[in-house]
Amino acid sequence: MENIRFKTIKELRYLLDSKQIFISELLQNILNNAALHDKQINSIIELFDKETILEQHKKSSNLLNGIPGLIKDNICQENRLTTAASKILSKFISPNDSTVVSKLKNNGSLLIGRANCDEFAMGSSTETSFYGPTKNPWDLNCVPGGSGGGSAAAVALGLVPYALGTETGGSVRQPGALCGVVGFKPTYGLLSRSGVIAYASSLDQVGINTRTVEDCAIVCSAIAGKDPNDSTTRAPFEQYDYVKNLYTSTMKGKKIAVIQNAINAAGVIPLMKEKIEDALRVYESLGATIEYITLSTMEYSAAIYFIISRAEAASNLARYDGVRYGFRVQADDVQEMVSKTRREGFGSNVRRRILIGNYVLSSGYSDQYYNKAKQVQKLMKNEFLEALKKYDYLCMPVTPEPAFKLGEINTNSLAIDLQDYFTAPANLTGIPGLSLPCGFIDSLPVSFQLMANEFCEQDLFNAGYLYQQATDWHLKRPA
Amino acid sequence: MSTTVSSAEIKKLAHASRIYLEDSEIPAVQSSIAEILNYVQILNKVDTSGIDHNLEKNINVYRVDIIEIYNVEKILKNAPQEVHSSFVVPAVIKKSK
Repeated sequence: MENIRFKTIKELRYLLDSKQIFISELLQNILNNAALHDKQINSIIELFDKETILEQHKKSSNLLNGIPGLIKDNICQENRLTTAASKILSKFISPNDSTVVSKLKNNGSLLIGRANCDEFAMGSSTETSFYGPTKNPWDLNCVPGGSGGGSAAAVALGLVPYALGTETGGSVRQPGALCGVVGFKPTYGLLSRSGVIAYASSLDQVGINTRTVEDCAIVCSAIAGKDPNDSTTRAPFEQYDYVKNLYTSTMKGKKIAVIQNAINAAGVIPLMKEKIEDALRVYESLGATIEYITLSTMEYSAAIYFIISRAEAASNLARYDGVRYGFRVQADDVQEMVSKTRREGFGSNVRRRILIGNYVLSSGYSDQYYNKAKQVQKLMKNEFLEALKKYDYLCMPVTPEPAFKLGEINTNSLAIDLQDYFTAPANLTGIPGLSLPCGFIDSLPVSFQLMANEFCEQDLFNAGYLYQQATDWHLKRPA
Repeated sequence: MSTTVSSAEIKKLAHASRIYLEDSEIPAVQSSIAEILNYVQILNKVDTSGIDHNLEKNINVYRVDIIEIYNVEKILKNAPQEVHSSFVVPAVIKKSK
């Protein structure tokens, strides 16, 4: 039987439909690959056993029937440990499926395990996971990015054709870029957050890592849509097929605006700028026009993100108190129990963010910090949406340079968060973003990103699909 | 605008966050918070007069107010301590020693 590593969804579909392989064999193959190739990478916290995966299989006529996928450890799967890569939830078994997982199961997909991530999805390197860091498949001394490093690394290793992640400031696109795979964040409100462990509720969205844009469109089609369990879902449809329009799409007449104060920002290395401009030349050859614009609110992206994400995290993580679930430190009274539980149960990075979050929300400070940040966020959203009235896409870097080394950036410092500088605007403004591999620097993959207007995911998928038809970066494999 | 946070404020913050903090840990938290507060001063440059972020066009989403019965077993499944279908916690009021 041929090796099914690196196969796309359609390739696997063909093997299954032509009965060259059966679901059970496919699954065994995937599990064997994962056990073999993930030893040094640690992208998967828990690989589920074959029996329970098959027990949960719901036969479907969808493309995804029998197709394996991986789920980030902060997205609930019924009767599975869902720990947000933390100690405080290390024994938490989710009583329910999150909506997106439920939809994947209804489409027949086989969910094979939990992807590693930064604790509570807070970080840009997957170094703060309670279960140890994930390594970059292209260089084991480097980080895979974060918080969703496990999802991106597993896809880069060819273990699964897709992995779900979550984004608050870039946690799917940034690891996608550092691992050389597609990273997609939808419009805020396209995918349900029900059953997704909350970090910053006004920013959180489920995202997808794949090797091909076609696979990304397939998965997105399966999980998009309004959910009565999440009142922030506001897609103007119940279901959408993003796949069928890919094959007839074109870049002719499309206008791409490159954010020049982003591509020229301090820290973006010259080679990175060069790779992005190479990608833009591809789009020009496909018929798009490229213009350069300035979006002045970019300068405030990180500052707004720091404040809003920490404030909302402080609120969302207040529920972890050792009372109804999770790790508990025994004590004589409730106050002591809760304080000591949270002290021991959370890692230092998470504790730090909660403290700062409460500070910027506290009486006397909320105006100058939280309210101010929300106002500047509104300005940023206005500026970005205004630009998207004139242009079909905005383009900028995903990261200033390729993957940095493990341990190089202190995860408690500001520097780790500045990794979100280019990705956070899409989260802060709610617009969708897609990061696409476009080359290598010192043998490490790099990507560029496109953003489009709200609910214009089809435009993003079209642009990504056409780029991958014209280039072969997405076919490169780590050694 | 001051970006230094006093240790008294840190203690209050730790209490509000319900995260136990040793006194020896306070300086590290102070400098960490100061680092971020210094960085975000950049937002003071922005003219936000006339911007009211609360004037978003938000729509309330309602559901019918019906009673839903949940599976008690499921709810208690992850309880650190439970008895008679209730979660058990230590004394709410500190015992006087």
